[in-house]
Amino acid sequence: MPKPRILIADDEPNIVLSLEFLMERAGYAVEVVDNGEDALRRAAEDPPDLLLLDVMLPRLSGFEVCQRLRALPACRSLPIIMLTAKGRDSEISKGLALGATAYVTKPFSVHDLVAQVKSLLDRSG
Amino acid sequence: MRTWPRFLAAVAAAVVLVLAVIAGYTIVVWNTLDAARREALVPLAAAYGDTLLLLVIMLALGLALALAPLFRAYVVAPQQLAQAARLIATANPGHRVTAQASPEMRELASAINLLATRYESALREARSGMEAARRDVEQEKNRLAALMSELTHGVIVCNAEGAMLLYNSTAREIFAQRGTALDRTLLGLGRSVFALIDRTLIAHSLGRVQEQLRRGVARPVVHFVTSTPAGDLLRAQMAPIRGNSAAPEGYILTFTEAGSELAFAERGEELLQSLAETGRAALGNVRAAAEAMHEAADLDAAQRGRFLRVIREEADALARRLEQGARAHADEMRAQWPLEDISCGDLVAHAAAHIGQSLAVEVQTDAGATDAWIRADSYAMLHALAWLAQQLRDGHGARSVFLRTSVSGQHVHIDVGARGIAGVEASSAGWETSAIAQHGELARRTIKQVMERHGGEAWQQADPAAGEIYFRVLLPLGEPMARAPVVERVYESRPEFYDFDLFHQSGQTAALDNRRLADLAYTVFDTETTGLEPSRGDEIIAIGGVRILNGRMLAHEAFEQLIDPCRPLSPGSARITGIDADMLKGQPTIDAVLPAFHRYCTDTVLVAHNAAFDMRFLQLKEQKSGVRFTQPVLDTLLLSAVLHPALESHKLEAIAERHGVSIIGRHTALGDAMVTAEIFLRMIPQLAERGIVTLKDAHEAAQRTYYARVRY
Repeated sequence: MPKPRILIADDEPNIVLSLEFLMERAGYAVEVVDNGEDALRRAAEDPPDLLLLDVMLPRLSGFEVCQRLRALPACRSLPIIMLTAKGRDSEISKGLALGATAYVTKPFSVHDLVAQVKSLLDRSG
Repeated sequence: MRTWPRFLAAVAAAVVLVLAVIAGYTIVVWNTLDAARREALVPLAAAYGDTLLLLVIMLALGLALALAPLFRAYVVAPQQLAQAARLIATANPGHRVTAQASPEMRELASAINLLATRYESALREARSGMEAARRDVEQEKNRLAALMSELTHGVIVCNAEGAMLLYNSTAREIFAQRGTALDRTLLGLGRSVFALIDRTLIAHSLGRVQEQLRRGVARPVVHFVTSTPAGDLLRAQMAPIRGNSAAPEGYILTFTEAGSELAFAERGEELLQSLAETGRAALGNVRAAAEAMHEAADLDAAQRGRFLRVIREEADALARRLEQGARAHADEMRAQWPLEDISCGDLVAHAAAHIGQSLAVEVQTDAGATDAWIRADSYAMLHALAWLAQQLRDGHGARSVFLRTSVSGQHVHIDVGARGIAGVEASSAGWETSAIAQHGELARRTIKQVMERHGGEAWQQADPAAGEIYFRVLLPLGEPMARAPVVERVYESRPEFYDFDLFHQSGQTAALDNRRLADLAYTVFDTETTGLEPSRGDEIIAIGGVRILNGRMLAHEAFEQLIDPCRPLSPGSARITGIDADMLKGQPTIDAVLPAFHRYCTDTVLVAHNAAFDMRFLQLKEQKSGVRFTQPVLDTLLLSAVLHPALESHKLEAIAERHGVSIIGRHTALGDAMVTAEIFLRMIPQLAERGIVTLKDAHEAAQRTYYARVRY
């Protein structure tokens, strides 16, 4: 059985370093993009099993990426976890309204995040 | 002299008394005599008859001489003393009575003089006390006036009925600058504040103030947002003026223009927001790195070094950012104007009006959350909503937009959308970060910034089934009333400045006819015209007006407007009025000016000299201007004829001279209006002396004069 594939879209190398490291250790295949456009393109071309999507991305915001992906039939049920440093109620509402599966605010526990990723993949797999 | 006959009467009475005694004695003696002696006495009496008469006259003279000093001392003197006392009491407290002949009268005179001295000094004391008090009040008034004019906030004080009692120059600037030139005069003492601010908004705010008063809030105050007649937003604050009763006697409104305070608060919010975000992000990175090191005990030195470097970098960056933030905070947060409570209904109504006007699109409102309150910078929010509507118009060709509100949990949704637009996909591309205004206070602000300031979000959604595309603005629900602390305290009954008479003046809706002339509000006006025959096409070229309130001419609130008559002027009129064709070029026409003048005259009685002439001009313009002047009218020409029927001339100059009013600016509309106003003010007490007290009295008296029959 191939490893589940996770696409990480985040432009901050310092968080990507840890995320990538821990996701790989948890047994996932990880691909990283650092802007919204690439995230949209990669996810549309070859939908991953799960998308970790930062809200504040250059070129195309996480919200925009999420909304556009949901419009694509292939990505309609793709689990998308949005990551943000803002964490206001209204922003969470917006993310969920635009199609995010889950919403995680920084600082988050990577340990918990890995557990959440696992449960989402189990459910959709 | 009424004392002379009384003296004669007294002398006569004395003579009669003496004669009566003698006659009585004679009769008694006569009765004791026998017949022979009586007969012997008769010729004797006849022989001395003449002498007897002489004796009586001498007796009278003697009595008169004897009585004169007594009469002077005890009858004339008290009368003189009484007159002198009356003089002291009514006209001249410095007057003193002169020394008297008799000791009793000397006593009385000195008593009167003592009383007069005491009275005079008491009077002087009272006067100087009054003078000092007046000076104090005057000084206080000047101080208050100076203070008010220095305020950067506009201030208007109203009584409970909404009549303005006081305003400062900033309020005047705010409303003048924003209103059209013709509307400048809506602000004025005694005028209704509802001409400036929506009655329902005032009523609503007053209701909220009263609610706070009932709850015993220490400093009841309500913030709201309003707009000037020209449509610009103002931040307003209402505080009550408490009287002796439970309901406030009036209220103080303060205003600032919405734009000027914006920057401070917005930068403060932004700063906090960005600090929180960078803090969270940095902590997130540090935590993730720490967890990675913790989870993987088998890291090699290179990997370990990379995670440690992340932790160090993030910690340093965070420390730097906090340092910067603290400094920026100190700089920026000095003054902060809070977001104010505004109901969704008000916001949407404002927005609908603004969008309809500025974008020329049809706006439907579909308010499901009219009563929900949000805390908003409504100025920014209004422009943000309008900008979103503009995107629908420009981007999707929407001719009509809808504004829809609903409440969802702890949030309010405000949707700006359009219907019947097929095949559009919702997108977040670009619009969030475009500037919503190119200049002004909101220059280069974006929807994103506006949303961040409100703790809100905005996105676009499409509902293909309903053929709708809309922007959804999500804002946190506010609390309609800030939780003000409940404080038990006893308050002084009213602020320390004035006793404004108008607080106790009821509105002018009562039957005017029975109101006293001295209590009414007047607009005294005059027109200049191209000629004397309105029915032959002569036109008004200038209107000047000035108001009288509480017996005072309000010269600072005058109305003065030149009018383009749209016809050539006769050379004669230019000579009289000093207004030539060039001056009238570019002035508004009569149909624009009369509605403004009509507003100026609201709730007042019109006064003019030879009013029939001016009123005729106004009446002929009723159709064209769409306003009718139905106010009661008083004519100073007729009133002058009432006061001085025998005098020939009732021309304005002649009356002015008679009343000691100096004429300045004769034959300018405003100059004449002011002269007429001063004359009218001086006529009011004279009319009252003749029993003409009410408006009805004045009308009836005027109608009886000859001049009332002249027609134009």
